Amino acid sequence: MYGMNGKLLVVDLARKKAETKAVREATLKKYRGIDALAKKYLKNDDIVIMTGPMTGLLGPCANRYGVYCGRGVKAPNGTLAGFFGPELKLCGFDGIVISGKAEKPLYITVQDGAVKFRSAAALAGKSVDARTAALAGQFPVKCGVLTIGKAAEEGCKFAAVIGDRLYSGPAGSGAAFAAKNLAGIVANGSGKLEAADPDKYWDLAMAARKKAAQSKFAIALGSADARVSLAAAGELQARPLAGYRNLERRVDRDAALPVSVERRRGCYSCAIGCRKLYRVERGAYKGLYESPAPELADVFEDECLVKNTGALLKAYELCRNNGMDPAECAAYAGKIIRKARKAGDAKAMLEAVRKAVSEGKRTKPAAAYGYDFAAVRNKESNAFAADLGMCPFAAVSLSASEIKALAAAALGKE
Amino acid sequence: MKVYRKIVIRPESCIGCRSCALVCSFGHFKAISPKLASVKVYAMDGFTEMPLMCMHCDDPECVKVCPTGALARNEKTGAVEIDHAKCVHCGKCVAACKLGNIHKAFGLTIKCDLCGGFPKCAAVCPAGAIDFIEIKEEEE
Repeated sequence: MYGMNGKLLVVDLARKKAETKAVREATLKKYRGIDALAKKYLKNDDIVIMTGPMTGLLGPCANRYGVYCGRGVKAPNGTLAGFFGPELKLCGFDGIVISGKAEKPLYITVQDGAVKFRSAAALAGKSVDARTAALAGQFPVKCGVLTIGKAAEEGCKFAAVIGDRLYSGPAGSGAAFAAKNLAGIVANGSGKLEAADPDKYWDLAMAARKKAAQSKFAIALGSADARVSLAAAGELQARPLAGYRNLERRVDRDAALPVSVERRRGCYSCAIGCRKLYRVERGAYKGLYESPAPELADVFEDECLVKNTGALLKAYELCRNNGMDPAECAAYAGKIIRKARKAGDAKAMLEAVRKAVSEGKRTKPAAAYGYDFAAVRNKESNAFAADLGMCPFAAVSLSASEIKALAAAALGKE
Repeated sequence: MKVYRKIVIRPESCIGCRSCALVCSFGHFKAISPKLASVKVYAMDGFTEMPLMCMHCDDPECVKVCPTGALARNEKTGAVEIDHAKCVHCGKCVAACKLGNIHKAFGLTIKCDLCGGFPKCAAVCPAGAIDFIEIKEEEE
């Protein structure tokens, strides 16, 4: 089947053994999509990392992969963005099934077919940025890195794995990794991915990329100019964007605290560039901050009622760099500061976020954060696209028939 | 007046998505592979990434060292191109390129050819980090 390698990497951490498991074409066709295939191989307390049939292709934004953990932890939306999924695909694997518990903390390197287990002793206590840099440093070229943070090591229950320094996995996935003494996985592939009908796929993918990049939704998410974003966002009411719009409004209008967009960021094969690097130019929160995921951009403001843009960016930064799920961390911090009657207090919020690193307990956020497919058009096609391995933010501008045609050209008709 | 087109790279705009490398390999070889792409995206530091491909030098070293004459400038597009029928994959051009923009993969020598005058990487870049611009120069 085009788009899939037909191979899984099965890792036993207890024995430090890795073997390749062939997946029959009939199984790939029956369990098509990230969710179905990951759940097929998810047993007991195993961890399954699964790519979709379109992960790694031309896109637009074909970079999604799922992290599924046993004992009830799974991605609320199934997928993470970034580079790890496509790199795993280029290594020749569709997914990884991880079982057992390592004796001591270790990380796994996957380079094409070669798998190595290395001690993670040097990574202990470090930030996600430092861990990612150390793991990526294993290879001279850009690679995909999935790592836990300090929060997972210190027992935070909603610790999340962080993909490629920026992209947060499901709440609890970091804790599941830490329970297996697995500190991270780094993948570097040099294989090839092909399409069933390359000429047709090229034409459709280029047209889809153009459409995704020029949609108002994409402009609002990805514009380097916050004011342009606001103008476009005014016409949109979708839930993921509302959060981003609030943050952008702060960045644009918080005259007391000048915040500028330093850089834009994009995942593998991105046509939009929704992530940004913000610079807070002065004050207590002076510095550079990576933007949160668009669909989670208003969680701290909603849960903690804090209005200071610098403090909100700092809270996201603490979450990301310690490996915590922003939605549950915001809910946990909100609960603590409301109890102390300090709702809206930026310092109390940051203190609660720091406390969460070692003491965080699962806390349900007040609202359902994440992609709300009902709020955007083509809800079925978007969910379908995300399951195939495409970013919903790119797929939102495409019709169901366009996504199906793209999938047919890439993967073949069946 | 001399009019020619040139690739211009803006690292400050690059979002690190590698779309340029993907379309490069797929456009030329109908397969996605970072090894088949003549565009490489380098991480400069934690914040900046930069796409880099053949700069089609005015006085290209690769052309000088090629023993079979497989490398030559296409006067129409301005690109220094490889004639794969003549190339013997000796690797001299790989060693001669000062920027490291020629490499070998899957038994082929890989190098930017400006896609026949319409570089796909510049067309597909979502952030304007790669541009293909027209330059007008007064001749002396």
